[in-house]
Amino acid sequence: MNATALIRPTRSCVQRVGLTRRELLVRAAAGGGLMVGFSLPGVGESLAQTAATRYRLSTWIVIGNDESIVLQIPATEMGQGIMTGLAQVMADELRVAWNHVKVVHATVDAAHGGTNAGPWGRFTGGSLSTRLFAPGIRQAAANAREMLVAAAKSQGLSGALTASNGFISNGSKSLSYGTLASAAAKVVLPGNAALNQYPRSFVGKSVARVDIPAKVNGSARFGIDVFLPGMVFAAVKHCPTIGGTVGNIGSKPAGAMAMVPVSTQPGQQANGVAVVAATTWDAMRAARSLPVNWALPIDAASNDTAAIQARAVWLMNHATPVVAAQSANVSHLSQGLAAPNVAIDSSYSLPFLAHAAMEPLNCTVRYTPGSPGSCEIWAPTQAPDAVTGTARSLCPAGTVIKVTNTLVGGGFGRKFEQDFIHEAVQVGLATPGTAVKLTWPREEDFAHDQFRPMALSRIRAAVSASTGRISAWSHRIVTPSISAQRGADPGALDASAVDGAVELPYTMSPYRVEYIRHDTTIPVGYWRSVGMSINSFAVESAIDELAAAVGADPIQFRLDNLADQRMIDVLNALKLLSNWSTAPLPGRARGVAIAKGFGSWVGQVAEISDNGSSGAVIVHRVCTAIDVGTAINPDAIKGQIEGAVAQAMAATFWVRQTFVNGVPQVRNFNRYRPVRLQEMPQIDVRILQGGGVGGVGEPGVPCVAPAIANAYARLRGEAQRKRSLPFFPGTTLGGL
Amino acid sequence: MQTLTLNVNGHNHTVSVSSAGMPLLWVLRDVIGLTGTKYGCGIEVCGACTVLVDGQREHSCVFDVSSAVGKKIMTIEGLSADADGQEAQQAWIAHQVPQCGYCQPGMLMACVGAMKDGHHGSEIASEIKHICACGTYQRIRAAIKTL
Repeated sequence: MNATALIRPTRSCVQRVGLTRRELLVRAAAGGGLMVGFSLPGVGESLAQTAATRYRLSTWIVIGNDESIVLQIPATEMGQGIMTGLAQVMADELRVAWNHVKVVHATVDAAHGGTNAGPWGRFTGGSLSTRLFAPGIRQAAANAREMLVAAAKSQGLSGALTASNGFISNGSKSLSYGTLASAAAKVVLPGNAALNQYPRSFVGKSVARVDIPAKVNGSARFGIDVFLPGMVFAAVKHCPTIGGTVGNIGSKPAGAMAMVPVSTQPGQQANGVAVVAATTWDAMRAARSLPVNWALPIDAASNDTAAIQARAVWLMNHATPVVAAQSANVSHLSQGLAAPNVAIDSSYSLPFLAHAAMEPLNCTVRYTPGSPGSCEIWAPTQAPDAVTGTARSLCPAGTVIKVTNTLVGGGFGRKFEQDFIHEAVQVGLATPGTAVKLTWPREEDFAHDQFRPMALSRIRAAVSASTGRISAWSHRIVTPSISAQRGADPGALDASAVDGAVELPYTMSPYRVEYIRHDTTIPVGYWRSVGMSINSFAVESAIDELAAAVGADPIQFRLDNLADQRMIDVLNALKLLSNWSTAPLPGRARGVAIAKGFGSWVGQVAEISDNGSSGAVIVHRVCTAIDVGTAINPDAIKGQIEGAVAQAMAATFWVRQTFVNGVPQVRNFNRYRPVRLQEMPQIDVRILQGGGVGGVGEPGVPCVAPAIANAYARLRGEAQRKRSLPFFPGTTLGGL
Repeated sequence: MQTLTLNVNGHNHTVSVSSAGMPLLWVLRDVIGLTGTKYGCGIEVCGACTVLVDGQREHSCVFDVSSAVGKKIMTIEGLSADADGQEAQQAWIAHQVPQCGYCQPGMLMACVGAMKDGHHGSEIASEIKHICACGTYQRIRAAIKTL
């Protein structure tokens, strides 16, 4: 399945405000009240046009006669605070009492757009949820407010009416939304209501997140917490070798109720066996002891980290690249690289990464045969409509499919994927009438991830010593293509593979960016910030090398080569925030990096020191300046930056997945060393609001590795610069 | 099958398990249905499964259920009825700590366990080596500072 179109929405889709009549729907709520819903076109216009119905309902605002306000959102809450942020947007236009607001995931069914999904349909990713849904929710809320005003007029409230705190009032008399809701449902608005009629009370404020109370008392329900009467539990065991399939399965181990060969994709041979038992532990134990003869793929030996890296080098030197971007004057490239300009020629390499979300992959299925039969699915998913499609591909024709997307215990791009869903539906079909929860043991979650691709980059660039301007830039990227592996035209440019290497904010000229597809059967997937997690490391390291080559200050050098005013504003704010102009304490060094992506502009400064003789590094402080356009909830934005820094720090220093003869070597957190509490640097964030709406979930990631690498080069000298991630591979994590 | 009685958050639960060596984690989650305690790694590295057994912090993913018989087990679901637990919960809310929230039951139980051992503030923080993939550590540190 090709998710590229969805991850990269069309501009019109993101920027459009206002709703057409066709997009806004009004109906009476069940049990009385008002429901205002809106739909957005499928995120990619091309996808939407191929769908039988162009628009799909995805969001409802439900005003109950009991004064309840329920916002049903199409995005999945993964800890990014999207429930709260979208509710803030709604509350400002609807003018409600905050303590009456409840936010839930919209049901994935016919009434909520779940029946007409494209390959992915509704999804949460690309730092897009606010950008995609806030404008529509805002308009729908404003329209609902004006319908309530009209209803109040029809009920005899005269004079100038205002909406506030869940009441429509004329100054002397008030009617509550609950009492007006049913009448409002019959109001026909002539067009979209005007926005900005009232001062904002919620947007821009650090409103406490609505999902947090349940997360401190054990009542939050993640996918793995689904617990149904009479349910059984399953654990999967995959072929340890990537691409291997099930040969013969041994006899049923003690404690196992059933053994189900499962495949991760439609049309594929089974590559795993799910064992069903009375508890997850019994299932895991039985799966471990189950003997399976695996049929190994013939290319197993080529899936070896050393061989893959050697192939990347060969491709870099011998393959014909696709041009991703180039300037009109690209023919002057060699001239720009030549003396008297000062040139660098550097290669950067990055490893495969696991997602390592805290909640292991899991999915609960209850298949009930009948005519029609039903298939109920509960899953921690970033792509609930795709789950419907996965179930439809496996269930008998006509089966009624119902998907509930639960809270997600860490997604980072992994929980878009359908492999665990595909397996769980197969297990559900094998246990008709009984609910079954399939859990991937942590070892399977690490070994059978769809990994952030490895990459090799070579940047040849030069700078004029006299002007300090970049005189030439040539960047060649060798990396597997996520989209080609999912069936996209392999000859086409994979836009996500060059994200962060093209459309740079710099005024460099001439330039050329090239891409070489590195085919591999190791499954690759979307990891927080996708291509930018790779390319910003190479680009921002090289920029620093150019600055160093002419003895320029890294921030001033960037400012001298920037024309993008929002990037300049961010960099100037960062300079202040990080005390850049004041020398760091003795033994410390600072490094900077900037990036533009996901609709936001970001810059980060890392301040580091040596950790004695161990060779390790202490990160004392990471400062971030980010222009997010409009800050809906500043504290939630800060949280996303804090988390991105922690995740990217581990990727800078320690973590990677490696392969020996096709067997993934890292299988648990003891060899995938995250940052721990004692290592967390001080994170300071300055938020800029340059207009529009940018994304927040991913932009905090790309600059961290280059900022630390640039600080490291200053600390130890350019000769010791780290151009390969992670800095310290093989570092393990001991027990507690 | 073996039948055991466990005292969890002040309530007795009589359960049947396939083995006395079954980890407490899975008895809580899959037999009793108290799903607040989380499975993260299964090898006592991540800390998501932390519970208190007679006030001691234990990794329930490797803690034999038979060893918990006759003892008082406290899980995240019991925190709201515990004075230290309430204090920690309030600090977590005040500092808007959780993101995805999956590791937080373990974080909170470790924090409350340390409080019950008489630790305060940064003493507690120095003892918590749990993993949070969302990177909420700065807020955990700030929340713990108030305890």
